[in-house]
Amino acid sequence: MSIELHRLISWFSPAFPIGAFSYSHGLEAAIACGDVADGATLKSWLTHLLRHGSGWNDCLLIVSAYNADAEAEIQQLRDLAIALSAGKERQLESCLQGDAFAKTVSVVSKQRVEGGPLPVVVGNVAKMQGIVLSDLLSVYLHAFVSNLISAATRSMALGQIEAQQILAELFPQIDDVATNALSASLDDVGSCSFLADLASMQHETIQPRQFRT
Amino acid sequence: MLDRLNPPKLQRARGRAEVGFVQKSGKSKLQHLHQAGCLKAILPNTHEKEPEVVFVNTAGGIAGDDQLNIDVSLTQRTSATFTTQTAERVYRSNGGAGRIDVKLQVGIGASLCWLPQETIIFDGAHLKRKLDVELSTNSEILLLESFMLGRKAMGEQVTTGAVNDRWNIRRDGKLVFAEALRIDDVSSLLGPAALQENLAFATMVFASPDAHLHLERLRAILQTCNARCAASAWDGVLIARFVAADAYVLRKALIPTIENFRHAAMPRVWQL
Repeated sequence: MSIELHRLISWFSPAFPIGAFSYSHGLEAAIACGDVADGATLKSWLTHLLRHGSGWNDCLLIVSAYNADAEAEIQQLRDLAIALSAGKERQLESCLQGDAFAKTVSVVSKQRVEGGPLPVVVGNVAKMQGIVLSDLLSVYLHAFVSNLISAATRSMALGQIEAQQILAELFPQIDDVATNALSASLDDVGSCSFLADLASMQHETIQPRQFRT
Repeated sequence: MLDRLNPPKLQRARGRAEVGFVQKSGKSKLQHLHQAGCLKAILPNTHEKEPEVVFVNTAGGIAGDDQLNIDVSLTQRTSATFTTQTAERVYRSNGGAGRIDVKLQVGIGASLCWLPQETIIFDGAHLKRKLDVELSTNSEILLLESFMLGRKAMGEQVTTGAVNDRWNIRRDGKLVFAEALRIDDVSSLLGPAALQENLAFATMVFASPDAHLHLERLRAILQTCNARCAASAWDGVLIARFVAADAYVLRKALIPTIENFRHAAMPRVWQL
């Protein structure tokens, strides 16, 4: 296996210290209000985020950051990623993970990396460190979905085996979204994940809560 | 046969409205007004302190390849409210997208309220809309856009269509808020992350240097809403999102919310 692939797997392993386990992307609130109640609704919720929500938009930000030539372009992407946030918690989730990611990679690779929203940081770093873009997109989405499924097992009646079944069923969706993103541009940014966005905002005020978002 | 090679060029609606206000002896006065094609801008007499502008699309809706442009400019310390005479209907497209381009410039210390009535998406509609807001130092904007998929009371069902709605709010050139609505697969909207059985949705944005300080007040107002809604805020941006069963429920939530938030009545054209 190449060093680059080792690198990529390490970045998106749950052991990489970006605190991914503490964010639910609003899923905790979606479960609390009953929108997500079982394996079927969870799978549908995740599929929609992949195809028509933050999964898709993150991919486009990654592709643009990967292909950016100048720091000014990266700065514009940071602004766009922040401005596009559904609400404050989504913004925090992206920026805190992006900053933690940059900090760890800077130390490990002995190469200074700027923080910012996670997809922009990841796209920028991946290019510097020789990661293949299509692999990056699939692994990023895989980690995104896998983390949310793990959050679901901690918040609702969902067994670990069923959780893995759902993840496996989403593999083709993940690769499909990654492939489509490769030939898309920032003009294609957009989502229609209304209730998921609402849930992420409602999460700011729900009690009790075990996740930061 | 030749007819098929060269399909007849259908007549398409074009409309442009430009409105500009300046401050004269403490009041916002109309300085510039230009109307062309199917777009008209009307300034009704109101009891409000600030002028109100009502846009009218005399084409009666938007079809594929139609193009509407609205340019609004508020110079220093002016304020004005903008709305539309009726809900904007986006009809089935024979091909291209109907386009709406809106540019709002808000000068230093100026305040703009953008409160158009809802956009109704009919089956097979294709809409591409852009809303660009340029804010200057200490200026503010309150923006509300709402959508309805078909008219439930008329038994209309939307099963196909495409909507692309992009908003960019910049302050002194820096992007501070962006909304990118993109619907390209109507069937996916039934899911629990999208709309479930609901057919109406809206987003309200208040961008002002102190916008985030109004979060708790807005949350208190939203508590009385029957629609599903929530608010959030960060530096200089306050947003609320709404999802409702239909346009009536949505309006019933939006009108008091906006009125309580602004401490001012909704434009007269807005009725339940």
